[in-house]
Amino acid sequence: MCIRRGELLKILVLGRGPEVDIRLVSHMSPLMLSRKHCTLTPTADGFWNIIDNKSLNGVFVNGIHLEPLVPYTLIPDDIVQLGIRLQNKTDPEFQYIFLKEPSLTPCHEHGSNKQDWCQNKDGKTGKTDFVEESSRVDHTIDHLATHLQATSSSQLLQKQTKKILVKGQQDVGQNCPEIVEQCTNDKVNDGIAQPGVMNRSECEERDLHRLNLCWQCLVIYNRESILDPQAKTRQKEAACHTMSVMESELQCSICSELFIKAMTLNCSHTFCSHCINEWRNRKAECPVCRKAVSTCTPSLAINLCVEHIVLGMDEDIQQHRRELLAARTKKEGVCVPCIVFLFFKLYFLF
Amino acid sequence: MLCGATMASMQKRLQKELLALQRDPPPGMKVDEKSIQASLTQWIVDMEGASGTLYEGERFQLLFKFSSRYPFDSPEVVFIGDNIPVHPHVYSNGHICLSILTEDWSPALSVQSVCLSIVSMLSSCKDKKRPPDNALYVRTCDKNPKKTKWWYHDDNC
Ligand SMILES: [Zn+2]
Ligand SMILES: [Zn+2]
Ligand SMILES: [Zn+2]
Repeated sequence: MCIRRGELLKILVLGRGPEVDIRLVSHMSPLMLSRKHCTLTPTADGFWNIIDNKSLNGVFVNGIHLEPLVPYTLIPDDIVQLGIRLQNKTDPEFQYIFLKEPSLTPCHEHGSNKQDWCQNKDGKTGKTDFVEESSRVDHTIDHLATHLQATSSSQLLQKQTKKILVKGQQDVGQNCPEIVEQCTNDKVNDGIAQPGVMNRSECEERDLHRLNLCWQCLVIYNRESILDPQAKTRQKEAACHTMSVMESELQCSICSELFIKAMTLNCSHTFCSHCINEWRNRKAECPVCRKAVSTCTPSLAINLCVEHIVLGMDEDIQQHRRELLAARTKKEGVCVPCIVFLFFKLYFLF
Repeated sequence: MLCGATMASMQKRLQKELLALQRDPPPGMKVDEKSIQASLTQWIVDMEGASGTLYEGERFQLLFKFSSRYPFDSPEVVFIGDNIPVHPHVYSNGHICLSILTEDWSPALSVQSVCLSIVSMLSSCKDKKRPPDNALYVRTCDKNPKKTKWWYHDDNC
């Protein structure tokens, strides 16, 4: 997957929900990503900000968990991870590298204040056929992709990313000597402007930074997408199966809904609190096995499982559940400490 | 009183039961689609007497009525139509003497389990006759069989 900044400055929403700009579906864990997991916002000065939309499993940049709703400005080589790494996997499913894309597009198109930074010494700007350029860039990305495929662990990935990036640049350079020349000119320009202040690597870094400002591109590469498609389908089927089993196991035999405030009886049969209370008013025996009811205990674990499953369901189902909960709660009255406790538990669990 | 939560739960339950019955009906049973109202409160189930039993080749109709308190309240179930099975637990007005329809009802039971109980009740019959108190009962009973204080016949017929 590759997202480019392009001419269009658009806010991009990424997630598994239906109304996002870039839909990402996990093949390993259906609820890995939230519906609107994160947002990529192009900034006025040519950067991208990434914002975690209070996602369940979080957004990580270089392994650091981002604070929800606080924008983080991505810099080249940042490793962006959406969701967590599964315990039995060596890599997270959604891991991307933020790359700067070397470009021939004149910088003055991207804000007048940055104009001088990318112009050639003589003030001319290099113009190249856009289509030609983008095909070259595609080539570079393909190149990156194949290299990424070879990497296995996150650490390795981080190390190799830099190499790949350099290599990618070289490729572009080979394809079009003009760019290299242009870049070199910029470097010379810098060197003249501030002799002795920066050493070579600092110089290069600044160049990278400037190129970045001129034309920034987010190359996101989903490592999963190159997996064997059959394996993908199998994984997907397995996940669907698990979901449907879970759904039927977590259904109340009285109301046929997923448990709402699950309560387990002494016989170990479970029902919604509303359902079993309603029934116990008539008869103090288990609807399933007819054993006399002696205890009726809330099942927190079941409640957490249900909440987790519901989060992955369509909005109308969630809405239906909220309505149902409200109607039942109105009838029964709420135990505030219990609700608060449940929220905390949910928050810390995920 | 009709409570929103109960209504909603009844709808979902009935929808699920109907779907299961349409998809995977017990042998010889079929929901009469035309009889189902939007509210799902009333269904007719067509059934055939099982082969190898006294009712082989006969066709019956069962009417299910669900109150707003279903499944906490049992459904009202009666035979309707021209052919009421002649059986020691079935009155000639269609009322059925079956404990799971009243005293022994549980909300974990379903239309399907009620149908299966009725089929097995008919299948186990060895002598086609009306209940001994048929004439009196039919003359004096309420239209709703659930209002009857049943004195359950023993199952040795
Ligand atoms: Zn329930
Ligand atoms: Zn039980
Ligand atoms: Zn409490």
